[in-house]
Amino acid sequence: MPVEPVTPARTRNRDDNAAHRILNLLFMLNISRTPLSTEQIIDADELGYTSSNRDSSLRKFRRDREKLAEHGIVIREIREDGARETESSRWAIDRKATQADLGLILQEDAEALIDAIDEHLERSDIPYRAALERIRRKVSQGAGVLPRAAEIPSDRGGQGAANPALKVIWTAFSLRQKLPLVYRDAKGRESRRTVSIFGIFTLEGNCYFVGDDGTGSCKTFRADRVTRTLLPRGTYRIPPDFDVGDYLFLPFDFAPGDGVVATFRFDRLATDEEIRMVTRGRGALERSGEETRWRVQARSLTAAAAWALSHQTPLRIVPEGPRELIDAWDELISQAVTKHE
Amino acid sequence: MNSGGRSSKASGANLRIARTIDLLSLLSSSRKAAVAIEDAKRALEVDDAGLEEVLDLIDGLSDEETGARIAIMRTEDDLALIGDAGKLGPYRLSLDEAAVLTHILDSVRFDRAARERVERALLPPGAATAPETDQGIGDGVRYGPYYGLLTEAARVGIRCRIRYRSAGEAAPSWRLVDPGQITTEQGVAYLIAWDVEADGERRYRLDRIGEVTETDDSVVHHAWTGESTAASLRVSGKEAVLVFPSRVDAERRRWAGLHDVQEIPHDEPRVRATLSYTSESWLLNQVLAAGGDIEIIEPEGLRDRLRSYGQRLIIG
Repeated sequence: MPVEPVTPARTRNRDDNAAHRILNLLFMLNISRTPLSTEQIIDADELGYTSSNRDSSLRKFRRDREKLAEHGIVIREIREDGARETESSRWAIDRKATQADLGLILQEDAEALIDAIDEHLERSDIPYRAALERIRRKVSQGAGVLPRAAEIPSDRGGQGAANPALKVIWTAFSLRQKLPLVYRDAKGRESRRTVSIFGIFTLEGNCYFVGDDGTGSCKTFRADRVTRTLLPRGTYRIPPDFDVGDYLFLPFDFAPGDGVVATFRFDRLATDEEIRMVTRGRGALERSGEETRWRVQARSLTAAAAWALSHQTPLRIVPEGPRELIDAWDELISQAVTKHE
Repeated sequence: MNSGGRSSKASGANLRIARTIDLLSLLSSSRKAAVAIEDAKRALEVDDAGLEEVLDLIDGLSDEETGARIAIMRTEDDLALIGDAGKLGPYRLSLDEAAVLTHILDSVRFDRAARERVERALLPPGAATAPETDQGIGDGVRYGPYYGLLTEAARVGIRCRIRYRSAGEAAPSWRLVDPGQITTEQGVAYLIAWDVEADGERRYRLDRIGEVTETDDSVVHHAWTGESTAASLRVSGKEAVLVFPSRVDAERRRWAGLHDVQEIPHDEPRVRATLSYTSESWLLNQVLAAGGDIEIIEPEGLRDRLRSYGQRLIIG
């Protein structure tokens, strides 16, 4: 088999220089048997911290340590208690904080986790596939995983069906960088937006993301309606009170106005999980004896009545109020019955 | 997850760093420190040019004081790490990986003691308690309280009893099953299992399983098919012919059993389609919820039953 060495090829750009400096810092600290001094690091030609302004070099070195920490690599200063950071400070990779301690994971933990990861990897709606595969590799390193008792063939599509925009959306979200994109709405109209993505969720087999498109309000976008993406640019912060769970929408959310509180009663045989599945953590559930009632804000009472009818089997949801909701329920049924006379 | 302080120009650098660390970690953890080029590209989510970029970066790394460099040799199909200078990891998870792991552990309700071990082993310092770790990832799929028990039974091969109510049943009943695996379709998690008494492969929605008990018996070998819900409905379901206002309306419902959607000549945009289904009450409820938009054409008896069922549901 022919063997050839990897050869350097192209001219470095600014991103390459930053990546090269940070990776070389990691490389030097990784192979060094002793901690390196600040002076050794900022004076090393191969790192490129050298600057006429010493403070600027030190700041750049600090930012690079922070950057490596984002990738899970902790650089620790080795110094006596109470001493200040000086150019004679010494630095080393904090192996305890950086190295995964795979020995802590029991065989059965690894198998259970890999089962869960594999089940998620089969889904075409998840945007974090690459991150999951990296986690799987790490977990697999610690424990050999036994094959399942039953190997079941799959005709469910799996990875091949994944939307390519998901990768870009996830990358922009994980870097907290604004994503310029072209979005086609439900009516087929295309518009260009730049979205600060605050959260990502999957619902009924689709992936959605929530963010501010520069209008100052949170909007929900369906990932498969992104027709084009450009290079992410500009940073943002996620509001501290943001909770993606608030955006797992229901079909009766889409109408103007604030809506009214609708009340539904569930069949006493419905399991908690069935109820939580359809109510999506929204509104308020009240249990009294064997009965469960759900109060939720509904913008469209017709859509709320249709939602309840579509979940009759097996939840037997009954609308209890307001009167307009019951009228909407009766009206939908009457229309369907009339159609079949 | 870091939520600020990154310069926009650093995004390309950040990806290059992540990919380089990934490649070196992948090589370090692989048998004989070698991986297939195609596997490396897939793991890094890069094309040929992206892989070249990473290899160029690695080739440029050096320690002038010791003369150390990282050597990666490439054959036609494989990459191999030569020597120890480039060996990395296994590292703890990066912040975005930590967020994903936390989300997975939450959604399957991973055993608490096992979760603590996994988090101590893998999460970076402080990530387990950081509020932003799982701030932005949501999932409408519900795996329910029995996910762990059922996956363990499937892995080890333990026959189980599950208390379950299917869509058409008025009350739950116990089923004796050999668990196969968990799968997700259209945002719903199912247990694929062998119903021992019916001697057939079945799918059970995890949110409808009310209780699970393990038996003393082991599972036996079965001729699993892994059929999707759509394929299974086509084989064993009943059929109805329906008319929808348009193809878009029919397809947006995403009913697994819907097939043969055809425009009605001289009546566009209305379409006629066949629906394979197992629960008649489910079908009747969907038609009622559409409020006259969907019409059952065949079988005629189903039209009659829709009328009488609908009249019973009117509250008045």
